Amino acid sequence: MSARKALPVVYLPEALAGETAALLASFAQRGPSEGVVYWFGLEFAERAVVTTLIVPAADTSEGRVSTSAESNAEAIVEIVGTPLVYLGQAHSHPGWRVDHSLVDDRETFARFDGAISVVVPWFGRYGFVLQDCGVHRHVAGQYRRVERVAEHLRMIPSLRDLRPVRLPTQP
Amino acid sequence: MSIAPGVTIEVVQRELAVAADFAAAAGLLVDVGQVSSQKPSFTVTFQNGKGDCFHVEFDCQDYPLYPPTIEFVSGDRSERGTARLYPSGLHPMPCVCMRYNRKAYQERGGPHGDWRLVDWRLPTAQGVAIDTLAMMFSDLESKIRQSTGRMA
Repeated sequence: MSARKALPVVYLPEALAGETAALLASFAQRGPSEGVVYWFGLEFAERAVVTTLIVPAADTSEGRVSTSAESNAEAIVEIVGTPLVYLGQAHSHPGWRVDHSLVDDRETFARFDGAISVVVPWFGRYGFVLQDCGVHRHVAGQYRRVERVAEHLRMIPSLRDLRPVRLPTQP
Repeated sequence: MSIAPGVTIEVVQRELAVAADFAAAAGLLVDVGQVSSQKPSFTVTFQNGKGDCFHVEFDCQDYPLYPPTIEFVSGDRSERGTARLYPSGLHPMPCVCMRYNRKAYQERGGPHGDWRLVDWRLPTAQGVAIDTLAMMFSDLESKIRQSTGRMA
């Protein structure tokens, strides 16, 4: 699948990628449960940048994650009055399989053209390794897994400290 | 270096109380009948997606200074560490090749010469730290659940 020009490439800062994985892993601490994190950010014509993560009050009682209209509304309320828009989400799967399930296709909250949905393997426990994730884009009314990931999602640095000698930071 | 057995058993029992929540949610069977300060070990029975049972012994000597030694055993505990007791997909040594398994370290005969036992609580790669018994149960459960059979 190739990117349509209308779909902005989503840029994800490394720190937020790591935080996404850690949040997903936190869902699996008390039971073998999938998790979900919503991505919000700034959107321009050809690019969007994830700036904010919001974890909805999801129901994980059966090991799968589901969100109610109320919990999704609560998430959206958090960005009201800001320039942020809803870009998509990441959710976790128990093992290495990262294709959307039929349920994922049907029940993912973000179902608008351009929405991005990333499946992170192993409950996110081993971090956000982009080449191990399944990247899906909502196009023409449905989600499809993308092959050329770089046309849809790219990682960007969060912090680089290039000093040859670094002093410890103050607590 | 070692740790007082009384400390180990207290930490193990405290963490097992937390891990019991995970075990109940995941349908794991935790057998703590053997746990004592002299022998701080217990077994957990996991199932893969096909319903095959796998019995895993956690020997927590010197825990939490060092990670447990994790070994697959037979249901009657008469056999241990053989490939047929392991689920497919794990390290062919056979071994649970994770920082939280003492057997994975080269100094204990395992494949990892690049890890130090005292660093066992560090996260693997970019991931989260697997540094409690509950997290170990969680990690093993997802690995075993994904397996489709036995290693041999």
